[in-house]
Amino acid sequence: MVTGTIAALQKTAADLLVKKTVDLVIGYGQSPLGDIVPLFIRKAEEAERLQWNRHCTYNLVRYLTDREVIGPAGVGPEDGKADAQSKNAAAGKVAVVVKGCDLKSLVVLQSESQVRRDRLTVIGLPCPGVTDKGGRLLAKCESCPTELYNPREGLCDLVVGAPVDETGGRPVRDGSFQEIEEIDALEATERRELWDRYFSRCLRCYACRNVCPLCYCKECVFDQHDPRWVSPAAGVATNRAFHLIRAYHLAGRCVDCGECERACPVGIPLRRINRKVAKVVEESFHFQAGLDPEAKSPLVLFSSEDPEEFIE
Amino acid sequence: MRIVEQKVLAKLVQCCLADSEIIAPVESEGRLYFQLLDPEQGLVELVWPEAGDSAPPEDPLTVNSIKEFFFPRRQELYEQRPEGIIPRTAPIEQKRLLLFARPCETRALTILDRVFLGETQDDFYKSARQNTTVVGLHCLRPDRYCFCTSLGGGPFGTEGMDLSLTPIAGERFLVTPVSEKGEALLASLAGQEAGEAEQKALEILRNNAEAAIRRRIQLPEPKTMAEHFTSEYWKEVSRACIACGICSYLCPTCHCFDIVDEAVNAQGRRVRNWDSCQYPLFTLHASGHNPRPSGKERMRQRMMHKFRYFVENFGEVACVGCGRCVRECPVNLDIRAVIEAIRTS
Repeated sequence: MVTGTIAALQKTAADLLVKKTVDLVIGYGQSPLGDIVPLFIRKAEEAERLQWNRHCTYNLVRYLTDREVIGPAGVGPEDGKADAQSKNAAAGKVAVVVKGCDLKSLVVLQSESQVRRDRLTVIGLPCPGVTDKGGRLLAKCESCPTELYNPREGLCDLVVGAPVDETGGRPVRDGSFQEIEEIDALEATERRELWDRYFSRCLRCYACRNVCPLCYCKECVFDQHDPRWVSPAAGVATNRAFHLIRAYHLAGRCVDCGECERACPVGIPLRRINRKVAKVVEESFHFQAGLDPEAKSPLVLFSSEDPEEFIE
Repeated sequence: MRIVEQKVLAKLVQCCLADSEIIAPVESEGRLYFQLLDPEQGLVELVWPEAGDSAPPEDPLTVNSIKEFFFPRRQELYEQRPEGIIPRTAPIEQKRLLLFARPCETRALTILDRVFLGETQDDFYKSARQNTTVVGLHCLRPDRYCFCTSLGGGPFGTEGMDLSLTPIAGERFLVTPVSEKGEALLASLAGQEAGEAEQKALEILRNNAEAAIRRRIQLPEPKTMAEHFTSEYWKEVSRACIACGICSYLCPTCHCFDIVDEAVNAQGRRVRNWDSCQYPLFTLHASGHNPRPSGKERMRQRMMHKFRYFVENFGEVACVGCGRCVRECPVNLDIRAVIEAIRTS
């Protein structure tokens, strides 16, 4: 991550704001105490605050569906339609900085019609892997498939920075679900014990859900209170229900950006849950989420040729 | 003050296991959590603090605070049965020994006391406090998130403890009684009385620990906080916040709760759960109105409660500088930066 990339990124952002291509750039910045934080800039002169280094862990796609961040005019499916003919059409357009893994979650948002791609400028950054606060490479980066090192150009509007060498640094992922198979090989009671041990620690802080770029429901089932479907009380049974419901809601959608696991304060290996479901979806439907904005997840489709009887 | 060997302390804890619950730091995948020790396993899980050359460069701190052992995540208040209401009036009677609580969080207990042992006394909290002996652990190497010295505490503080331990090289502790309970406990610990040399060593350790906390912040006056109630800053600072409950749930002083009825068949239970001011349901009224409808009001509430309302109500700040909210924030929001911004703007 060379300084040249940061300068190019800052210039790109400033240009986008000056030319009024967008009126908000979402990127990475630095807090007064030197930590990397999500940064939201609306003025070209603020573009020099943009940063890019190995602590830029956040998946900023999460903010695209957050109306409190984006404002009344944004990149949602209905945004800009009323003003299509007026010069207000540019208002609310957003540029977002993404890594290869983050980009996959944007692809899912596109396929689910949650963002209007024409109101969005996607700035891709080649990524050599990001680290946790202690400087250790994140587990998701260790197993990052090489094709994600560099954001797919066809899916980005701009790519800033030199491509990351595919042979450098990280072990090449074999595409297997080894850690899932290890858990699958356990007896049912052992699996249950394993997960209940993790779930008993869950605080129900909802960081996993809130940091997830694909948890964009206006009202989450866990925030409904009349009736209250799942008790807010932290306990093994209710926590288990919470995590299973979340896993089902992400079936065929989760792109393994790993934000849930990174955010979890009590170390629940949430990626293993979501990757288990991804494995089932892959084996049953030959589908991987986040690759093609035109492709629909098998769980939101039906086909009259479906061999299963229930469809008739 | 007495010099006590780790194995002597271990023997005492082992004895306590027979009639007490032991709450202590337990390791799981490289991180520490305060947990009830499994009596079957004895002291196997217990993680002893290290001192001297073998010690890690920063004190390993627990993810959770000791709060949940006094103000649990879920507390049943009473049962509703066809025959009537059956109150849960049997709070904790079990004797408990809490080991290796850090000065910041034991100090937080004295802050929680003001809430739960004030005019209205909370039986559950009261019994948990009365039946727990708090053995505190001084911090030798605070990390960069620690800021207890800005809030009237310190790495060698003893508020809220019954007994304090300072780990020293050679698997030994300098043990100082803080309360009568602590005196009694110390009486059962064999060891040499500490002399002048140990006093001096303790002073040096304390000075080093305090010096390690480089970042000092000045708190804004409640008046300054009040002046910023309508500030645009709240909107700006809350933008990156993902509105999770990590900060409030890991905080040793946050104590907001929600009371719900749980129904199972013909039985009901009234339960008190932790709640977080960052949640959309936090102050949602039955009418559907919410006086804190968005992130900026919720962020403001958290800061105002700690640095203004609590000060106005109880005369002290509801933050002990343990740094958990900073350490674990998924987007690096820093309470220190927020209050400094308020004070200086």
